Amino acid sequence: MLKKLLTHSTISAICLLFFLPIVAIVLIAASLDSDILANDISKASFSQFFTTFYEMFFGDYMQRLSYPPAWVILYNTLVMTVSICLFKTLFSLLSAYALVFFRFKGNIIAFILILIAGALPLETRFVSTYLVCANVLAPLNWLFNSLGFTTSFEWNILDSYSGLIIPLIPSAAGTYLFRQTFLNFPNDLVEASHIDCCKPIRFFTHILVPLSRSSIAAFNIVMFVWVWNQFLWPFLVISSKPYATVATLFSELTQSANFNLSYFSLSAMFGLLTLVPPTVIIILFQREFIKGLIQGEK
Amino acid sequence: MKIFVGLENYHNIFSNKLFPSFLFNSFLFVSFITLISFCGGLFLACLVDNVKKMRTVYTTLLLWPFALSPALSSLIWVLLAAPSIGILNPIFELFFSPWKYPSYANQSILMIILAATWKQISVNFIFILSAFSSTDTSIREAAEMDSAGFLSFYRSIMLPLALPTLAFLFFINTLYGFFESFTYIHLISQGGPADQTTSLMYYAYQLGFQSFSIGEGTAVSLILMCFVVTIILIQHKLIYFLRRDR
Repeated sequence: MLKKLLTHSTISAICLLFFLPIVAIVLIAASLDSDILANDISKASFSQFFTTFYEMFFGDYMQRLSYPPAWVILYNTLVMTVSICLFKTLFSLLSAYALVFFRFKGNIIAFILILIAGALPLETRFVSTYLVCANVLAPLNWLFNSLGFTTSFEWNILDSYSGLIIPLIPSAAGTYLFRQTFLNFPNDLVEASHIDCCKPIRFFTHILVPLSRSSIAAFNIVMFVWVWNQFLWPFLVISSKPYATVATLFSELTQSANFNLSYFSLSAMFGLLTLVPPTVIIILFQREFIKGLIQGEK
Repeated sequence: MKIFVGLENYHNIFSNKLFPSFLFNSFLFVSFITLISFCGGLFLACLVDNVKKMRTVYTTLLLWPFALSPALSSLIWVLLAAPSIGILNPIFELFFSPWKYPSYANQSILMIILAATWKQISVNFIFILSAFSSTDTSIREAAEMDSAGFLSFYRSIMLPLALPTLAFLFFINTLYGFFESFTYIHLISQGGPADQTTSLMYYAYQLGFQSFSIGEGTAVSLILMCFVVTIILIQHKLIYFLRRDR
């Protein structure tokens, strides 16, 4: 009995400890900057919290930092997250489909190449990827120049949605995951669809994808949280204000807080706003989220 | 124009006097983050594994830090511990007489490790807990019959059963320590004071994007790549070795 009580109280204490920083952040978001500088957050009030919230979305709080309103920044991040998840799923599904259901030359080589690509995440090659994005057509130039022509094609995708999205799409984890799912796919169904003259594309869209939707959902939930929380790439690629994502603003706000400049309540409020989407997803789809994580382990 | 320089970039990097300390810092962050978050996650998982009532509530409450992004975690800790205004400053001042993390290396390192482990504990927790709960119930019943104690039950039965998961966690934590520590370093200390918290990855960023010597930046990231490939190979061998015994 005593042991049980001890266990419960320890866990509750740790849960509380994990949650306390968020309470403190809510308090900071609900105070005036001048009060925070005077080390007095007891004056925090609901009305101040909502004022900060309102001013960030519709007022001029963000313009003081020369940024667009908060909803633009959240919208940019949402566009990035949703499109990366969509493309990741699409490409992983297609490549896994090809690897599992078709016998073609170089099958094994393709799979090994995908696994090698998975071992080289963007973080290990961000400098060179940045150079590639600065001019996507540079290899063409190199090719033509070595053939004796002088060309200077240029296509810069830095500072745009495509530069933000494309480098994060390749996903060996997704291919691997869907490959596992497809390998366990009942063979009878494949044969039955063959007998009924089901063409490959129809088989893919009408049988395979609907039947593996639970894996797809789990993968997307994990990926949503992962992409939403990306810092390095969005921070490097985006430098113009209209395309700013949460990463850009995080680096700006943390820098000013490090050196005791103002914008404390704004930073705290912004942090809370970015916390909402992943938290909602994790709590609503907790079971699928854990399933997606554990699947990734195999 | 681009000129082929052979291994000159590597020579330049290795002849930098600070390079060993950057390497040391990388491993310092990796080992601390891995160790603390692994032990914390294991402790929590053992506790929650014993609980029947409220189990889902506790899981949710301990799972939510997963939603924290490294950037947000840094921002929160900076706001809570910023010199002269942070709410937590009285606590920190018990241990460090002037609490001013941007100007002391040990304080910056403490901040980075705190911010990094907050999220990673819950990652470790959820993996270990699900490894525990996927074991056969008969094992648990047998242990209860033989009245195995709390410690010995986990040490000699559950942990060996969960070894493949633990190997996977080792891998995840190491990659996290190598790569995500970039975010914490950039936001909390920017490699400072006097390059004392710069890790390899942050060095690559500084070379490529601040001093615009892109060749050297790429060379550093290639060195980093070698580490990652080594770790992945070790992990594959480890998992293969662990699964072979079954």
